[in-house]
Amino acid sequence: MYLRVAILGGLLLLASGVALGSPAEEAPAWLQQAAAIKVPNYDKEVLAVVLRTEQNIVLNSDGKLVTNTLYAVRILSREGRVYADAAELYLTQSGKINEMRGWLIRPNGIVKKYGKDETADRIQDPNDIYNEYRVKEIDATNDAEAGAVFGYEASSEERPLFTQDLWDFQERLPTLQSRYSLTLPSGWRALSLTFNHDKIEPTVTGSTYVWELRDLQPIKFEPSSPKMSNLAPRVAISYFLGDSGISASSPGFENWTQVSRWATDLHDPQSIPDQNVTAKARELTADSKTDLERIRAIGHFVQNLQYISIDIGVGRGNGYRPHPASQVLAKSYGDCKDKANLMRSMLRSINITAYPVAIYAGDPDHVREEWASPYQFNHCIIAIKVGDDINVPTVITDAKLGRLLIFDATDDNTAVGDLPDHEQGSFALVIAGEAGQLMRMPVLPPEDSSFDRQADVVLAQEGTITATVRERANGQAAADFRRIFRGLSSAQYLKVIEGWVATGATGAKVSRVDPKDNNLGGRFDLDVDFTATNYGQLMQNRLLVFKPAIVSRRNSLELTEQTRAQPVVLDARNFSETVRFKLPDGFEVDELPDPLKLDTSFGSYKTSYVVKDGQLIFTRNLTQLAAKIPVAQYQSVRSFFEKIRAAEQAPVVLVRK
Amino acid sequence: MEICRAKIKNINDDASGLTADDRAKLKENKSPADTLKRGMGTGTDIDMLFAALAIAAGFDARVVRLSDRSDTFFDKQFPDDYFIQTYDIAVKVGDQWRFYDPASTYVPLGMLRWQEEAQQALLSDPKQPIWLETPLSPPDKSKVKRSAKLKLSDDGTLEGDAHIEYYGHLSVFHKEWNDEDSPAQREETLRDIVKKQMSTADISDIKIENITDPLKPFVYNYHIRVPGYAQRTGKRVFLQPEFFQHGVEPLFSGSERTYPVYFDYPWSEEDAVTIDLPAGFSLDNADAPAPFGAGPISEYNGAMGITSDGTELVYKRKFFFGGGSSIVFPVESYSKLKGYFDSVHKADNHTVTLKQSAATAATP
Repeated sequence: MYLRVAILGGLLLLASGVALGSPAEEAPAWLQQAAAIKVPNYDKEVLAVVLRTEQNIVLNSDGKLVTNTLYAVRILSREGRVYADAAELYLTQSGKINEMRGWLIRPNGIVKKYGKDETADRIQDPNDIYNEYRVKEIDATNDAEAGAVFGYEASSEERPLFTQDLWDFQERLPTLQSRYSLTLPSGWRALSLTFNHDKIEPTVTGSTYVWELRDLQPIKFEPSSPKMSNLAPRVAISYFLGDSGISASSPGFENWTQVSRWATDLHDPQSIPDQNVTAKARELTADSKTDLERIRAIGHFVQNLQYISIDIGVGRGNGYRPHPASQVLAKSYGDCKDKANLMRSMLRSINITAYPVAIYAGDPDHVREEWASPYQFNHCIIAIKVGDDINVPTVITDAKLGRLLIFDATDDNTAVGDLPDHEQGSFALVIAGEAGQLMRMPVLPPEDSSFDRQADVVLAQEGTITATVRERANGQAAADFRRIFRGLSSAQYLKVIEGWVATGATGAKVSRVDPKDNNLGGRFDLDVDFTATNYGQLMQNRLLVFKPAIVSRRNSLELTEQTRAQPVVLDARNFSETVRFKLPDGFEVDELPDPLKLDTSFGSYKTSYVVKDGQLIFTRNLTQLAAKIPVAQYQSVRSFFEKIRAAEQAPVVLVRK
Repeated sequence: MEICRAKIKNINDDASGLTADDRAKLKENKSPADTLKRGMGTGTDIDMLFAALAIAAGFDARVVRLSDRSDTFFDKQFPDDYFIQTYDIAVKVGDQWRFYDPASTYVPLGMLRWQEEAQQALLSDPKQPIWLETPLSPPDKSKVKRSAKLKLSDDGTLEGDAHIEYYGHLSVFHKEWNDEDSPAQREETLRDIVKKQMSTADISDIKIENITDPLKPFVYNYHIRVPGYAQRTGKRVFLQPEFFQHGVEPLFSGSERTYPVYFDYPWSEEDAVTIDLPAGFSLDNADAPAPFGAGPISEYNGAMGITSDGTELVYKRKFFFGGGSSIVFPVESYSKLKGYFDSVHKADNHTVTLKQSAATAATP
């Protein structure tokens, strides 16, 4: 089979002259030592163990950082081969990888070397139109096997943007030795903060600081768990020249005001509106009667510009500097900071003050208040100064800056007055010069992200149901539906809806799917009609049994493991449903499930069943609060969701009169 | 064939344990004799060894080239060898050509990889090459046989042991899926399969057999506990006896279809489930779903019984699909096909009622 492939593969391998192996002593001494470490016994799902991970960094007096990296990993199973891979990131204009070499020590002691010829140099993200980040990579995954040790060392240099750094002591794999060493020129000092671990004090020898941890346990993947940045031990390091605070060549930050000042200098000059920006802002707001309407009009326009990120000169700080607002308007595209900046500029042209806001998108717990650093952010949104007349849930009040309406000018699924759930409650830096500071973003109550479903169902004697379902969602619940709706063609969307209906009602024929997206109003409605033959099962022509939960809630958390190592992170949700069944003539209710009422610190759930005038009215309500539930309470949260699952499977029994 | 399978290592096989370096170090086999002597070779080496052995035994044996049905439906009116990239060996037995694929380790004797079945095959001949058609294995050749002995508690928890055997193409699929994996990963794969159907299930005592055995069926054995499997109401328990289909979603959900429906190969299923009923409960109705079918293409038969002492429910199910070599269905027949598989899904989800006896019901 596959004759050509097999022969060509063999020829290519021979032609490339790959070194086939040599005795183990040809690996460097540090790797041989690492390979000799006796590895503890781990659970069988642990695929590999990091024997050593180390960065030795020297700050030269010319401001350049020289980094030497050492890394060794033992592959424990066949699936662990993916870890026999080395990747070093660099910025084309401000850094370079001077040397990179790797070794694979096979279980039989034979060593395979990887040098320049086996090192790929590729763009970091092939989907980007322009990206200055590149990666040098040694991929030994196809050569590795269980029992092998892969190691590499790399030497690189860069001119840092800030005199700050972060060191993650581990990723998910267990790690036996993790070390970060920083050598500073005379007169410099370093400060560090520890996250997710007891304080790690550096060992200081002369001007060299060393942070080290050993014997770190694996971090197992668990659903709905905190992100890795809140699980793995890490140190954040800032280094300064003398006691003055900031070095001459690169900024280091001691407080958020300094970061705000620095970022303000990058943002402010770019936000000055020109004639075109002003004209566009006036055109967009011509029919607006209030500031909120003006903000909505401009926000909607900016959100719908094409998202394209082109940062030229990232090593010089341009990853933090937006393009001029006039340019973004003219080109009709930009990234998050470009959009926030254009919106700010347009608002400014109609006399509404706004500030850019640096935030981390994807994890509200990512940004740590105690470490003043731009490195903590990956996204830019906007804070708009508003008067007392504007009352939406995303307004926060600051003693210096007043009332600020927080808005994500990039997320075109989230309207003014709402905020993506992964940004709610996060610390974010309002960039406002001296007045700028880290602020807590608003957390919207569950009712501002609610999802209500009303269904009218006719149940026939043989069990066929004819159903009309009306769903009404707002806030982030609506944003979730909108994201799906906009991401699919109408035919694909129909298939998704049919699939959802069929999961609850086998063989359902969907006759109407009517979505209504009210993006500006932050709402999404969906009406669906369907029939499903024999939905209820007629038994012995006497009993008719059916589940009143005819379709799923769409979002459900299933915690199937009996034990848990990490807290459970819950999003805020609010779901309510009322299903009215018209019961078939000649039948009466024989058995109803017991109503369920659950009240916990993280949420509540309630079902009810009422029979009246030939109708069965079934309701279920779930309110879930945004919460991080500690491991000690895992059984209670697991039980909460398990009881809900069981309740939603519970049948109603009708009996022929 | 047995020598080629059991004694010769296929160095192209991803489960051979050889790395690219190992392969590069191997000497090239220049003849079938080299392959036999070294006990290893490429897939082509093994094919050629099989052909040589057949010829030595007095058979006429030839190389055939054919296309891969997972890639394209080959049309011999388009004469380009790009489309006939795979190789098998044809052996003339009596006056018939039979096809063999000794290089595909797990494919049973008498079958080809499903990708090569029901394909036009070019029989090599220096004078008169001819086109032959490879046969399509019928449903009973690719069978899954499942059995479970389970006990139901009065709170709806189901617990017991399950045994699954895969044959034919189904066996090849599971062996290829698992053979490269570590034992832990193989267990995880099974857990994932079961949890996808029954999220509350706990699985233990997993034994996976014949993963790399070229001849025997691929086998799963495991113990399972599923809280909330059956639904309990005040005086009844509702139970889906077809345990192996619990939580399986309908095969087709969309009402419209743009392209024809294509099943890789015909297959069949045989299930036998026994369930000890909880004390104090008796079967209220033992009606099984009525049998139905689609002529020679498919049949579904479910049968239910109860032991004479009324304590054990026995459910048996037989199903096949793809009979009469019917595996491709045009868009026009989608509605009927969907309706048929919806009927299968409904029958699989058939529920029986257990009634609480009067004495038990009266117990506080």
